[in-house]
Amino acid sequence: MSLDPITIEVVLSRLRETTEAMAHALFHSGYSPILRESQDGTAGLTDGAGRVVMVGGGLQYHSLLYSKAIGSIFERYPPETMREGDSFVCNDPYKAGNSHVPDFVVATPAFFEGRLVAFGVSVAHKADVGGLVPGSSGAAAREIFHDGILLPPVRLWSADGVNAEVEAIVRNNSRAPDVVVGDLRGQVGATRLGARRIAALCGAFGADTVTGTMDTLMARTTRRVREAVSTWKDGGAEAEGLMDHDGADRDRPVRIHVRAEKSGDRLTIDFSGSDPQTAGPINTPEPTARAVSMQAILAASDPSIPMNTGAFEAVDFVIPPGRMVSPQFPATVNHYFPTSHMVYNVVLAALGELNPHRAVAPSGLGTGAMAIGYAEGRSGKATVQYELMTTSLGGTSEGDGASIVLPMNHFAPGTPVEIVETEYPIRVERFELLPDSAGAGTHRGGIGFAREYAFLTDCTLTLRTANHRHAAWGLFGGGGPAPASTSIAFADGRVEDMDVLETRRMSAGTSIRLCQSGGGGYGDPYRRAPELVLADIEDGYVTPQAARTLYGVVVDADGALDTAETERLRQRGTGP
Amino acid sequence: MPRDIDGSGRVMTSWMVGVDTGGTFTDLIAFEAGTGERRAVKVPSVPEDPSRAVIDALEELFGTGIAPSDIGFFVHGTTVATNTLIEEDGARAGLLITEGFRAVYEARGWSQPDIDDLLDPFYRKPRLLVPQSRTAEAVERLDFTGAVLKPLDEDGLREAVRGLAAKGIESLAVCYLFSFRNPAHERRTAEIVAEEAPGLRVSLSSEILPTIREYPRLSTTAIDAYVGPRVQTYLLRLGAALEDAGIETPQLFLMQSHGGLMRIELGARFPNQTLLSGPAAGAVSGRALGALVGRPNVVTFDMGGTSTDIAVIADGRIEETDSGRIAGQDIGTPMLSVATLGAGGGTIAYIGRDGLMKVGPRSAGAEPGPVCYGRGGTEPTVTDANLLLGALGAGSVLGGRMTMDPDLARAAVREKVADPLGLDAIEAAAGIVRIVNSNMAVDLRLAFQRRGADPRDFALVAFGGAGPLHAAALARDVGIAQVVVPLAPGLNSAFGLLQTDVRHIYVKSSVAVLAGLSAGAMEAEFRDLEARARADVREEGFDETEAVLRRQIDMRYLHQGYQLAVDCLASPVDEAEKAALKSRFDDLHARVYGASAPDEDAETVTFRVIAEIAVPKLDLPAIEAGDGDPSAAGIGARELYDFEAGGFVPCTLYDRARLRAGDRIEGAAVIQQFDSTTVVLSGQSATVEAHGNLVIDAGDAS
Repeated sequence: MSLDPITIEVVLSRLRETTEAMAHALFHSGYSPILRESQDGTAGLTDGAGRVVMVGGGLQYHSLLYSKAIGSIFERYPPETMREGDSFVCNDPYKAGNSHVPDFVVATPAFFEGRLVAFGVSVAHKADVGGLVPGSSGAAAREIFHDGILLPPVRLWSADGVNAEVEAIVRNNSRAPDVVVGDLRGQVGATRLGARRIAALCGAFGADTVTGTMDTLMARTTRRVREAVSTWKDGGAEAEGLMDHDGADRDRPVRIHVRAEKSGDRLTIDFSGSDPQTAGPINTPEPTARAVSMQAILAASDPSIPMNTGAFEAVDFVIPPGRMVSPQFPATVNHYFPTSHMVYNVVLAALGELNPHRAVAPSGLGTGAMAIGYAEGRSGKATVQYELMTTSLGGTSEGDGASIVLPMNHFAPGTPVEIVETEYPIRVERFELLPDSAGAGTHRGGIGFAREYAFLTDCTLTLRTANHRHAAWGLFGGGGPAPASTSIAFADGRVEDMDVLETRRMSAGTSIRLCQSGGGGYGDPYRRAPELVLADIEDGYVTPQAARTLYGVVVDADGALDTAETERLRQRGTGP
Repeated sequence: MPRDIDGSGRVMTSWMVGVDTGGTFTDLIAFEAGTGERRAVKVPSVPEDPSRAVIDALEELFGTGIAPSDIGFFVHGTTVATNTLIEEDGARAGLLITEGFRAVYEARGWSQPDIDDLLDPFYRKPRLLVPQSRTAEAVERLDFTGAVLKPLDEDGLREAVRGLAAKGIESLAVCYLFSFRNPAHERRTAEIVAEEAPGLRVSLSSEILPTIREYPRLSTTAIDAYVGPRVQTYLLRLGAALEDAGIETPQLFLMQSHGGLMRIELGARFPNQTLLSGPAAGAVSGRALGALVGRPNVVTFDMGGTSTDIAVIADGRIEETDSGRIAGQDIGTPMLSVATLGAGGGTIAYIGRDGLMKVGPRSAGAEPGPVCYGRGGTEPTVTDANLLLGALGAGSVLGGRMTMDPDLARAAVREKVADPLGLDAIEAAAGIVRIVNSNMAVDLRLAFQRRGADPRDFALVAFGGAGPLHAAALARDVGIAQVVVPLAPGLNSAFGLLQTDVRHIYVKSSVAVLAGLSAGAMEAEFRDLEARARADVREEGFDETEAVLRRQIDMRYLHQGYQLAVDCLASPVDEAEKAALKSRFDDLHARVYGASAPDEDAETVTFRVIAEIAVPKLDLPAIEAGDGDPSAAGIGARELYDFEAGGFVPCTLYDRARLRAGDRIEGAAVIQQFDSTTVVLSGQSATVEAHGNLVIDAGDAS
């Protein structure tokens, strides 16, 4: 049917409202800090066929997996068998397409006059779903079964209420059952809210108008991506990055490689040059690899283009099966995040060559998460603390990179110190800035930082980070940032470095220090205004020593700018 | 307020005066309770010294025969704090934090607030109000219970304070970890600062926002230090100016962000409480109007030239939030939850990158304004669309200050939006209004959802220059049955200043499982807070029996991180009330979040007592009653676009000033007045209630 453009815009605003309302409900009714503080989840809509319409919340790369999950649910529950009031759950990455096992997918069909018109969908990370270690995602995992309980698509709720059997199975397979079931209920609530809103919208505007608007949104998104791509220069560009190792063979770095080929309004993203799937857990399920690539494509063209199935239809992907970005069952995927972040950075780097005015220096590497299992939390029950590791953005043509964010990801990934210490037997000793951690440049990267924790009881720590050996890089003459690192200080004074992927028993009195990387630098540091370098020294972002060696800026003993000496140094040419 | 008779037998009048500073105009309302006499004054605002406009307005009032000594009660709504943040011209402040935690402020909650930010690698964070170069670290540490892990290093602190003072700071924010549990280190720091840097203004996080989560507490404290000196200077200047003007009354108040008053002397101590002074006054006025027409549930809809403010008031209470953001700065001080969106008369319509029509948030502002004003605007606005659709009339507006030319509007609509979409000018103009209404409706519905409220239970109070123009359609869209348009929609905020009480909020964090708490212990928590409230009431010079105290508990399920406020109705608290609290919480949770867990325990988070002291209020006098027939106020007819019919229908025009109480108007109708225009749609009817407010029956809503 043909819709007038005004009605489409009006219904679109209602769909955005619905998505926003769902995300609000999800984050505000969540039980675990990972959901309510770090907002590690999304809620959004697909159409009745499972095509993604909108994703609410920070993790836009969940988009594609909404589709994959609905497809799998249909295999067991064909549309004609679904009833009003049903809600389904699934968390097997090879069925639901979720990024890793702790991300549970919940979907609730929306009916209008008996017709299936949409799904309310939510994906949210669970604090613990079994598996090798507290927090579920173990460095020692070698197959998906090590990552935790795997629910196929099953009916979690019906019009009669919760399916207590399924909930009991979930509960029985978690080290933190109360918060897992509480978060799951939050997901169900959010998706049912979405389904109700969509039905009401169909009542107000007609089901054909609502579904027609969804179709239009996707079609127009496809067109916008193609139009943006058509303004780039034709040609190919490549980029690659190295991860330290896969967790199984700790001496061999693994490579993410991308080739972008652009011709007219067609863009092909080719991962044929990326390494084969690994034995260890750093593989990224294909829907996630595609979706983070799409985030880079939108970042490199026009970030106001919405993420939906239409965007994916505008771009061709070449992803041979069995790569790190397309693992095959039963490969483990629990540590997908740093690999996804690398995919994002390398796609952004390659596209920067095709569209230089949107080129940016990469964000720092070394993202991931830390999970700590306690036999007794503050409440006396066993519990799992889960914290995300962030970094900073790279410099751009317009300015310095933002400090302490998670690129392409959460709205607010950090948990406040006061919440951490109130809920878990741990103390945050420091949360401080690291001088000289940012890549130098005309526009430097965002500043790196350190977070230091002291364990107050014995516990199990699983560190799942990345890139202690291989840091990010600079752009157009800018410098790379310092790499991330993690060290342990034992009660007896010994200090030792930790690997990126490790599970260890920790004793009370031990502490760890996580040093997170800053962003990459953009442009020749010698072209940074000396006043800005001086301000960076005063703010503690850059040391006087680095100002001299990296920026060619000299300050005297009183901290004032030595203009003559600065000019002399800078005449020697460009930055190191 | 009763009349006083002095020894001479002369009748002394006692006038109440409210002065609201706005971006363009400063509005004054004066009211004499004994006689019901009223004056209104509108003067241009003076951004470089807002107190001058206050005095200008008072001078104009004095010109009407009221003496300065006749003023017995004065309330002010100020934008000084807000503008300081927006214009980034606050004090050169310093910051003291717990050693080792410089990243807390830098991280700014680690956030990238919007989807567009997340996908944009060019994203930059809002500026730190206090840079790292003026931040110093204190050696001290408390644990999560407030116990001292590391005592305050006083020698080191003295040195740090001297160092900051040497950098020329005008104020100092102090925010230590867990100070909300134990303020001792922050208080000792204030003493040391007083010794090392006498006279320096100090903001302690344990006083400004004693709640968990270090970043919002720090950010709020930094805002206090940043805007405090500016607010202080302003209030001193205003106080002197009021004294010079001959104002004698000690009854001087400021409107606070939560809609209650505080003594003007307290303003310099709590500048953050004035950040939403103006919008709060608007909401207060909406509440008063709701009460007047028997509707305790109202949503205020203040649509001006560039933006719209929306606030939900349920059961006579204005919704509050503790996570606000002004000019990118996060603030946790309880404030009225006002949603502001970029939709006003001057808001521009254009074709977006997706090929669809967008309306806002960009605005043509006051200059050049809408195209139809003929002052150089070229981009079609909401006002231009309303003119083409007959909602606004061509010719002069604002008492002849401005003329509107529909030909200019039509040409712009055609060129910029109609032709690209293949529509005619009227279809496109109707589209502009539908889209802007839809955008506003989205925010309205989200505001209801967050509150767990049903729009059908609410009335829409519409004011501002453009509010009454859009209210009838908006109400129909959202499912609100009734619209109330005040007698003077352009002066509504000034009215609000004279329609509220002195109000203070007392909180105590007390996290415990509800089932495990004894009714006696709960009663004791409330009694403590109530004792503090009564003491303060006495200190402010009121009689404690004048204070009305209300009890609330913020509750959540175990493990949740956000809570919902539940009323505690019984005093003393007993077992029955405990059970009732739990079921009220379960119901509220189901309404707000779509699910509840009646079988699970809830915990208490915060006990709250709200103290209110009634002060004199403006009474709207009844207007002259008519016979129900509005035809005497009729001033003609024209065609008005009808969205449901998709074409023009005849509509009657009325002059608001000539309507009488009881008059009933059938839509379609347009009611014009000096600074606002009200539209009544076909199928709707409007009644003039006793005080002159228009009550529109929005009809069977969707």
